[in-house]
Amino acid sequence: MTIAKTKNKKASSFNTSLVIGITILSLIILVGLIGPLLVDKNMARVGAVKPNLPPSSENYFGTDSQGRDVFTTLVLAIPPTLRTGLIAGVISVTIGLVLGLMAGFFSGGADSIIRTFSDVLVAVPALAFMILVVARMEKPSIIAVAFVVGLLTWSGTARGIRSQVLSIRERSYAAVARANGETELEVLFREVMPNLLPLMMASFIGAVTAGIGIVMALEVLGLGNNVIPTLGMMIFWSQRFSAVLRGMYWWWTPPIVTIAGIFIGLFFLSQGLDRYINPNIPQNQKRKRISPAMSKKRTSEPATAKVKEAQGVLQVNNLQVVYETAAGTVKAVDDVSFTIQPGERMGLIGESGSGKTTMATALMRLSRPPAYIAGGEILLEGVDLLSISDQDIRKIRLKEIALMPQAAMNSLNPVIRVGPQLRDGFKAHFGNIDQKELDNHVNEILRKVGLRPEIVERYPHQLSGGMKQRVAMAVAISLKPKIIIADEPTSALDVVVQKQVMLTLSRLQQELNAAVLLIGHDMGLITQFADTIGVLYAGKLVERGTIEDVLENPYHPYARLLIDSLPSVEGKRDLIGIPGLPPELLNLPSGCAFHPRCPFAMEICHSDKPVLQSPSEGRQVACHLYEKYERLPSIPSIRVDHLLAPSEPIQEG
Amino acid sequence: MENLLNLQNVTKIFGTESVRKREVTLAVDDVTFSISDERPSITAIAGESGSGKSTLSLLMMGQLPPSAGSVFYKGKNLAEMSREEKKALLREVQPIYQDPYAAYNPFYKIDHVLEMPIKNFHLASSKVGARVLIDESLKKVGLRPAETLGRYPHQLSGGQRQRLMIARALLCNPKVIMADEPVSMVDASLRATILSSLLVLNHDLGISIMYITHDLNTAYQISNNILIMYSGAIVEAGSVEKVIRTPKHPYTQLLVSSIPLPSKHKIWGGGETEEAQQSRQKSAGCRFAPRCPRVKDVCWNTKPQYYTPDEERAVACFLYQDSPIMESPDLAQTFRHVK
Repeated sequence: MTIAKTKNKKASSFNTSLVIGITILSLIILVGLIGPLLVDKNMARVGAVKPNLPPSSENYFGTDSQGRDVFTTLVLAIPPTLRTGLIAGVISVTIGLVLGLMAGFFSGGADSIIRTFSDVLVAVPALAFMILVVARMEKPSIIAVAFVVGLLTWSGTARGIRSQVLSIRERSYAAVARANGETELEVLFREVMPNLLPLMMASFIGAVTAGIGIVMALEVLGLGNNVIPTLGMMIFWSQRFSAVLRGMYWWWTPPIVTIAGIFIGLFFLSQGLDRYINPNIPQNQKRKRISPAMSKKRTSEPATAKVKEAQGVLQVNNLQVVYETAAGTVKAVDDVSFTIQPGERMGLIGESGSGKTTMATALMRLSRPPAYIAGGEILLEGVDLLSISDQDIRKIRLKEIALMPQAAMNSLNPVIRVGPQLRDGFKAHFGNIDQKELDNHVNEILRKVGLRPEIVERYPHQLSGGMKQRVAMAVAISLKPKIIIADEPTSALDVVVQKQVMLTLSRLQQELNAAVLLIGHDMGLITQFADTIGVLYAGKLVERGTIEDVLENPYHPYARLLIDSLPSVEGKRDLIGIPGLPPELLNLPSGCAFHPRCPFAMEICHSDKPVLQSPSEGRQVACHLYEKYERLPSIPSIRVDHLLAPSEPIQEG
Repeated sequence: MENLLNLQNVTKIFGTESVRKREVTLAVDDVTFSISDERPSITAIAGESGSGKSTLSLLMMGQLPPSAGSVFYKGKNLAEMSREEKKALLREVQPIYQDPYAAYNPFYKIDHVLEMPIKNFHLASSKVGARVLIDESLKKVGLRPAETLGRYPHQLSGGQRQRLMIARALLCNPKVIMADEPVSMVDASLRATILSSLLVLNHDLGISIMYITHDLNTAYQISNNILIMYSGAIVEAGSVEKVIRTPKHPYTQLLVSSIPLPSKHKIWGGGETEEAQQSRQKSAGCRFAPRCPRVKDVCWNTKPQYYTPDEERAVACFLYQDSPIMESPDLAQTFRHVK
């Protein structure tokens, strides 16, 4: 969340394409604007100068075989060429905008008429059509041609605008505007229109390019106006009088270079705009998942990783996962260490941005750019998952450590039936096994997760949310892993189905005696399932202990406030929230990241990061308080009226 | 007693016609209840996704016409309202939406959503007057104007944005606020502040609130009364103390027993059966029959009426058919009155 925010803000970071595009185009436009004022227009007349002269100090680009000065002709040819583009662009975008808005606004009848019309237009081959049009003209006029090009190219813009209008009108902010008393027309102009600007700019550039291109193509084919010099006519003349064969490079090169410049400039401009509008499109991402230091560690070790001495089935030591963003490096998981015993059910709780999903992907070594693992160890029964080869980690995934992802609908392939998707795991790990044996396996795991065998014939969309989550569970347990990472497995489900799915996971965990790491934001859900809990705040593990202990007597002030803020059907009480704002990962507070919100913050909390320590048996906490106290002093009461009076400061990020 | 909002046998059917077949969804099924003008209260509409609770809220705001039945606001049928009356309804029944991120047009500073209602509803005669109104409403939800105004939406946290949405609704001087899942996309640590803002609106400013949610925990915390919806119909209604603490309808019981409580002493009981959900049986009587653990023959063919097994509660279930049938069809008569 914090990362996306910053990216938007950093849209102003240097945009090379935009700068290149604008530079090239403004250079050409400048020549087109000022040039004609400075040159002697007579030099572009046929027979004005001696023909066939190579470039010299008098005729910078030489002269052509009809006695025109090439430089002067070129300077005079730029404005009409640009004008055709401009006219075509303006007409195309205006028609597209008006019709697109109408189609999106009125829908129904007007919409189908406009759409039918634009469908027909798409089918018209523009160039061929233009040849016919121009052939019928007595004296081809550039402006008329540009006009017709504009009339032919609006349909793409209209379609784009229409679909945007339809989608934006359904957005929440359009609904808010209606609640604010805006009429539909006002919604269209105030809420929808400004958001169409990027699309209109892109369409405009497209139409300009098409306009210049089509007019030039016509001229090169000889369908231009022989009197007014344009870049297209210059190329036509040079080929008509065999400039290339006669070695008169000075004749044909300047118009071609200029036209190429215009197209390249337009290309960079549209690319740059695209990047400016969608700053979140990944650009030139480095394809690394593990930092350089970590990959060195990986290659320097022998192919078969040494088994280290480790406790538990999974031991995480000083794990660091960072995101590389335009605004800098963000530590999403910062120096986290914990151990899970075989068969343990550990809950990991954190709010959005606390790094819990980043952690889940890192534990599977599935972090993808811009995230990568920057340090630490993930010891699965003593084998460091970060130091083994890509091939070895693939063998371990699913078989030893499996992931049950957040949204099952996204983890299942929508166009493949459930059966084949379940068989994939077996096939990948056992190669060619007997078909019948495979079917038995699949039926067996389906039965285990409470699904009927017929389900293998269904596509994912034919299943309910709970059933899909069960299929994802079936995949996760199919190879009897030693540890299952369940990342908010029920967050998309209703409460009744959530309970049923969790009870099934609970039974399976016992049958397999697998350890489970349940990641989530719902303290109630984690309490129902887990034995122990870890609390994440701003990428750091701040508390670890058994659920009973932590619920009864949370050590870390954040854990205490979080538990106190839970509303419950068990009894009405004052609503207590945590004051202040969730931390921004890019701009973390100094010292303990929680100190700005902490009612117990001391001086040391502003400067020193607390380390995880163990104030009592089986408990760990990262808080400076426990260097002084054994347990948390009673919390100053934070009441509703308190929270409402002074508002929290808004951090500038 | 004057009713602010009154729904009489409101039904909403969505039909989707395709080439092959005509599919009809009964989104809201014969709902009758009212919200009193005299005692502003918080009423929760709770149910799972697809239960019709959001559709019901749209019907109450007049954003959807009912397929059958009528919605009245201050005694006027929404379908027969004049332009001015509709505009008054629009201002006085204000929505708050679920997603505090999508509720802002990224093109504008947040001031935009606050200035719009002032302009459109002519709430202030001068710029200074408008600014005073904005400042007041921001302060009521615990935001400092100097630190909020002039910013773009992405510069505020989810919690702040949602409180700003409450401030926006407040500006319109509403009689009713329809809060559709206002905290489900907000972090746990910030939820309490938003809910307490809603409480302040209700207690101090006398605004009635409809709290539409799937979360019984928060519904219980802030609401006086609750309507439990299942598949378009209200299956149980009454005070939250009765309905949530001692649920009577098997569906409400299932919902309440599925809440994951943050206590090791209250661990989920019951089994993990999902058999009924996998079967696609349909019932012409009680909609819950295919999933009901205590289903009887009568449930499959006859719709249950509202029975009143005790005070402050009505339940649509044949298990309670020996209890008296609710006198008038208005479910609000089961509500606990707020002093």
